[in-house]
Amino acid sequence: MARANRLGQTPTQTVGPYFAIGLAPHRISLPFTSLATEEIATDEAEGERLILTGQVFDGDGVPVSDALIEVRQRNAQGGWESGQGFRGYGRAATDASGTFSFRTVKPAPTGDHEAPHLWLIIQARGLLGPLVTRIHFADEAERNECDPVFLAAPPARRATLLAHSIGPGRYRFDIRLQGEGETVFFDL
Amino acid sequence: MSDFPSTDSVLPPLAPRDRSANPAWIDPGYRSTARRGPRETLVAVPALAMVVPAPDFSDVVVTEIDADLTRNGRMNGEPLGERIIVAGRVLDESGRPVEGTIIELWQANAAGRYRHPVDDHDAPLDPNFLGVGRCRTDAEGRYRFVTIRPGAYPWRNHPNAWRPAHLHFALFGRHFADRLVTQMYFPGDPLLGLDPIFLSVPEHARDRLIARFDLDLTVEGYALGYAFDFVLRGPAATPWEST
Ligand SMILES: [Fe+2]
Repeated sequence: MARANRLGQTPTQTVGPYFAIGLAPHRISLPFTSLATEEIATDEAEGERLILTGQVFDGDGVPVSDALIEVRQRNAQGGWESGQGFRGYGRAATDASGTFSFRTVKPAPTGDHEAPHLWLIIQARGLLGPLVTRIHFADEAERNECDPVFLAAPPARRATLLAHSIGPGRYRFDIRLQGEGETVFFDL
Repeated sequence: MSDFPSTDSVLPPLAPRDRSANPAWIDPGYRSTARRGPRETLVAVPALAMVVPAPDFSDVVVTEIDADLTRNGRMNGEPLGERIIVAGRVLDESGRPVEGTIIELWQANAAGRYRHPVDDHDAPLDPNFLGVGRCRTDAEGRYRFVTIRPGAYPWRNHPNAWRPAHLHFALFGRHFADRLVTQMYFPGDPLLGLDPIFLSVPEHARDRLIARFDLDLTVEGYALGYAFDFVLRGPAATPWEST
């Protein structure tokens, strides 16, 4: 807790409604190369292919059409290393219906009892800082029940961390910023 | 569990975010926060969540022109407005430079208009200005952008609401959760005291978002210079530092 001899952290501010200019120029056809896209892993990457889609909703259940979602995940061997088509990081901006979508491979579980998961950072107009959450897979119930981060969430709210299969290689994960079924956000 | 690879490497645990220096999720002055800010308490995490590495951008080529917004969007001439230089360092809270990290910048043009389909402010676009830039810090954590001073612009938060001139910045540092998206403001702007987004920051930390005019960064006959440092969280204090 001691802050002696520490510099003051720079405070966060909202990404605002125009973040695509800087963070997803490909989404608005701006002639500037995007640092990252919705493709976390290309077809070259080893592992089980996944398409991960979902919608972001506000406290009234209205889709959030100007949210930025960033994803960080391990590769199919459980490591953080990128290469061979695996970037381990992706960025998406929601569309008018609040929908986002990523193409990736399923991350492996790890030796620390961690179930397969992806870390997410959500930002938007009206959010004054980054919200951090995690995607777990509903069909990995056994591993989830041993996962220390999943178990850190209150039991009644854990279901908000689960992506559900909606077809071969397709999963759905919705994000509720506020209100009933509010997604678990971690203090990170 | 030895049949799984153990990949957690040398990354030291991330320091906690100093919530006392950051905005609340729901801010009465900033209307959009009312239905978007979470109301539940953030959930505390175990230590292994503090060692998630930032994305690897080591193969991304960042050129000098990427950091010069007066040149990277030219169509048929120079962008209009007051040329400025914004430079400084990226440090962690123990004062160590953050080397090789990418800073992303986006902004309005000199007239206060963004090159974005959603911006309908009645002010001209500049055919020679995109309003986006990128820079990578050097070994001392230094960065430098050349750009155009952005104009103030109206927004619909409250009657006669205007955003003070600002630059939007995004950076990571070493950890994924050290994500910093912020806005840099200019000294002496009369709109600062009226802006709910700037004022959402607790008072004692507000000056951390205001650049300082710097004659040493100013290039004679070319552009005014503004100094602005970013302080990320970086590694948590070790026990002997925290006593
Ligand atoms: Fe802005």
